[in-house]
Amino acid sequence: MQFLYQTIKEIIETGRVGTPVFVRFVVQIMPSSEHILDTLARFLVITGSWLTSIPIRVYVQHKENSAQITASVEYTGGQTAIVSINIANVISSRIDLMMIGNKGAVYQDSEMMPPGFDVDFESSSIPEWLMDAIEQSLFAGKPVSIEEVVDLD
Amino acid sequence: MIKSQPYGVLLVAGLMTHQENYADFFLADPRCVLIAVTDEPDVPFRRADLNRKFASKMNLPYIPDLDEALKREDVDIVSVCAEHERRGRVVVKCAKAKKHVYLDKPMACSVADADAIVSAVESAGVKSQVYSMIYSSWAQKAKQAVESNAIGEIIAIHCDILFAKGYTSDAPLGKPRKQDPYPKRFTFIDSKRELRATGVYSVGLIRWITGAEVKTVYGITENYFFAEHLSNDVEDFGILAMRLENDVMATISAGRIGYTSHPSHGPMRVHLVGTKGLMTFDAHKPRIEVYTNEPPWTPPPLNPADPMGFWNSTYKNSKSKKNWVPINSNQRHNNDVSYFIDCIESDRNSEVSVKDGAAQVEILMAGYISAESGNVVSLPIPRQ
Repeated sequence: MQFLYQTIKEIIETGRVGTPVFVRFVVQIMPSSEHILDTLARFLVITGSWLTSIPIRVYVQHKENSAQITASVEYTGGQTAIVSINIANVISSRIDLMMIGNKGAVYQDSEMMPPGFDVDFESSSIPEWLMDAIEQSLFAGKPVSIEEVVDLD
Repeated sequence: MIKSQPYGVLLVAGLMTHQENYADFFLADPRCVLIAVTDEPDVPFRRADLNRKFASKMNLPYIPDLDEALKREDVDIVSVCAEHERRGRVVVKCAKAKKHVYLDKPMACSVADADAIVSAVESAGVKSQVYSMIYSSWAQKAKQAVESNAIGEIIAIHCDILFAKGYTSDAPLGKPRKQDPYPKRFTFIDSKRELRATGVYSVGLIRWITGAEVKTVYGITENYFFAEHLSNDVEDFGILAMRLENDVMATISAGRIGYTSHPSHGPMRVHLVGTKGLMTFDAHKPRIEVYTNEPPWTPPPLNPADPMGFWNSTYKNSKSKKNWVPINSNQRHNNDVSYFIDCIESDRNSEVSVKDGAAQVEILMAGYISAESGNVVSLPIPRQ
């Protein structure tokens, strides 16, 4: 994941696609010891890094007893993202990525990742408030404003 | 019932509407004959002029009074592309005149209009169809994956249909859009409410592929690309996150992202997540990619009469991008009309009837309400 993350980051930094405004991730990964909520959070950290923004509202959907989770996120600058993680008994992970800027776009079409592909990447520490927002939205079944989650003290 | 003579088709509205396309689809079906172009008698001069020019181009008479045109006994079907704000009353009138109706999408701009259309069509016992993408080969394959159980039980469906058209500009970014929960105006020369205009395809596909109704809607609208949309206070981009019957999750992204943001017409795909895994169906796959020493494609010169490139007639000489060549020839447009004629002949309802069109309208309008409040909206939404 580190290489994918870094490659997109470098494309953004060239300015070729303008300001990134929307990220769509549809990801299928093999089962691992990591909880699906942590994986979702990790991808949201990546997304936020590309959008250079932090979420203002997070809406998480999950079907009970399924290994699929989807987050729809709005960011402080008005950027948006939809991140869907599906954990399945497959031989290879798959990532479909669309990152749209206001002057262009970056696509990775349903690429199968090489065996041993790791969703981890550098600086992927997950902020506590993000995990709280994900869990609260999931529990409440509705969007959660980050302002409601962050402890201002 | 199979008619012994062709079905007479009346066209409501002409140039600079999707009638430019639909008229050709009817013309391509040997079971149909075009009768005339018509509209309401009090339409603005510009609309009447565009209608007359279209009639002239198609070698058809222009009947400037819809009521008079509907009295004609040689008219069996009306193809309606009136502007969104008057579409409801026009369609109701056509149905009451016992004409089958083929409708541009979205079929109305309020749930009240959509309800009125459904009621009129059902009372009159006529057939109806709203234009959709269900006859695209990629959509058909997605449906087959569900029906053949190749995907297993559906858990989630994600659909992106975005149009790579228009000249992106420096729309100021930096803050979330403030959405009017009950937008009233939908027709502009230089912009469309893109959550509706492009999102309607995804919403329609999700309902059709899953066969499930939408129960809740969460929506966000934004202005990312075009100063024109911003100045008209209409969104150029939107997302919806929905919950369907059986707890199936669904998301869409919709919008107009600029000519140079995609190698072809724009991203068009659906991801199905089921108990057997993830499958993706893409309008641009399978494809052949062609690269040559021809000059690279460039967007057509801007036409001030249609800055976003909405209509074929305003960009007649523009070239299409040719690097991606679909392997499956895409006959979806002709198929859509031909399928409608099949429905009329076999006396069965279309898979995208006005009832489905009304459901699409309600989902999209719920998206605007949600985008204003930041909350999830449950369907049905209150009737005003």
